[in-house]
Amino acid sequence: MSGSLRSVIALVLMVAAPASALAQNHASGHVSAGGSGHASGGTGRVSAPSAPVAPPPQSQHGFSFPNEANVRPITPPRPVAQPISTQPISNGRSVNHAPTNYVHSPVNANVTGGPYRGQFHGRVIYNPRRWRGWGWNRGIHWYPAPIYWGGGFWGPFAFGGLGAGLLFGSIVDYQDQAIYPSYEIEPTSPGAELLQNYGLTQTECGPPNLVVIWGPDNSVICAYPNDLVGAGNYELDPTTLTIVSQS
Amino acid sequence: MRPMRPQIYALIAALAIATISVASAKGVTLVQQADGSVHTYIDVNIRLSGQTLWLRSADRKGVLKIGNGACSFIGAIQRCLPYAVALIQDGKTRQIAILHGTVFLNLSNAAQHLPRSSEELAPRTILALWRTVRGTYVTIKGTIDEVAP
Repeated sequence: MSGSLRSVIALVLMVAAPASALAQNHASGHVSAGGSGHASGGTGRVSAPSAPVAPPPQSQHGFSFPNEANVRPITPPRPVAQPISTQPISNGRSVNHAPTNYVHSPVNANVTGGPYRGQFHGRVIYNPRRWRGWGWNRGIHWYPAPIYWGGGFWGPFAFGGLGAGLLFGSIVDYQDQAIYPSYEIEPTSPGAELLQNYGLTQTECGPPNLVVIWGPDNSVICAYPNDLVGAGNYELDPTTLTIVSQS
Repeated sequence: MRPMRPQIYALIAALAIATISVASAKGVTLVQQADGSVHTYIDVNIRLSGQTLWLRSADRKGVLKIGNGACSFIGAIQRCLPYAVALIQDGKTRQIAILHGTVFLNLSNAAQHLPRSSEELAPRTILALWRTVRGTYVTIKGTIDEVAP
């Protein structure tokens, strides 16, 4: 082998050696810190943690979740609704004060309409934007994430997260003794897109003569009526952002 | 002139060693326990299959499977809500119950601003944040290594 070639290979290996050592050092890919740390995004580099670096608590491989011992998804209680005092509506369903023994609406992403489910055979008010399919979502199919209030349609409020969403009134079903809490819609949610399309403004559920829209997971929001959408109950089709009135 | 073929082979082999030695995955995962201790995992491989996110530790011994739903777009950024997380490790699968979280995906070829934030997501990058019911915070950021339908 010529001297020049040996020099080239030696140079390449000199470059490779530190990289190889670095890769071995990161073989576990794991750095432990006693306090809060900060990671630089996307570069694979990690800045020095603010607290002194402590040795890993134990020899471990892969990911470590010591406090997550096979915790199955649970059904945490819904935030306690604080119904608004108002005049009862007909049909035994109202937004008046609910007795404390009333239960919160069942969580089921496949159920919509709350106490009115199956009764939405009225007029279809097509979305003024005339979305076709999932055009409102760049052609990507939207489907609910089951653990989130409203399947996540109105915003990312996990139902167990107290304070995650701002309570915005509720609908009380005296007939079935159930409470359907409502939350403030997150501005960038699909639900916000729906309200914008129809020119609706959300308000607290409670007072009579409001637009009441039932969404996925028995979720409900309320809005002031306008020229396009009159007061009453509506069911939402989240795939087309279209609403249907109660028959 | 002397034949160069053996020398070229040797050079290629040396270059291959140098290339393989450098990890390709660029994801960083922070796991902050309820007691405040933080574990940082670097060089995490990130794979997106449909709406499921797969994170593989650098030592290939642990995999986090994150099921997402309710995906919608904010501009060019796709926002999904994680609803099921599983840790696949040591031949076992453990469910990790999450309380709430969000996954932001930038699958475009241009950097995108996150909504209501000065944070910017580089092309083909994800940012995921979630909290478990046991109070563990998980933050994931990095370039997506593979996207499958």
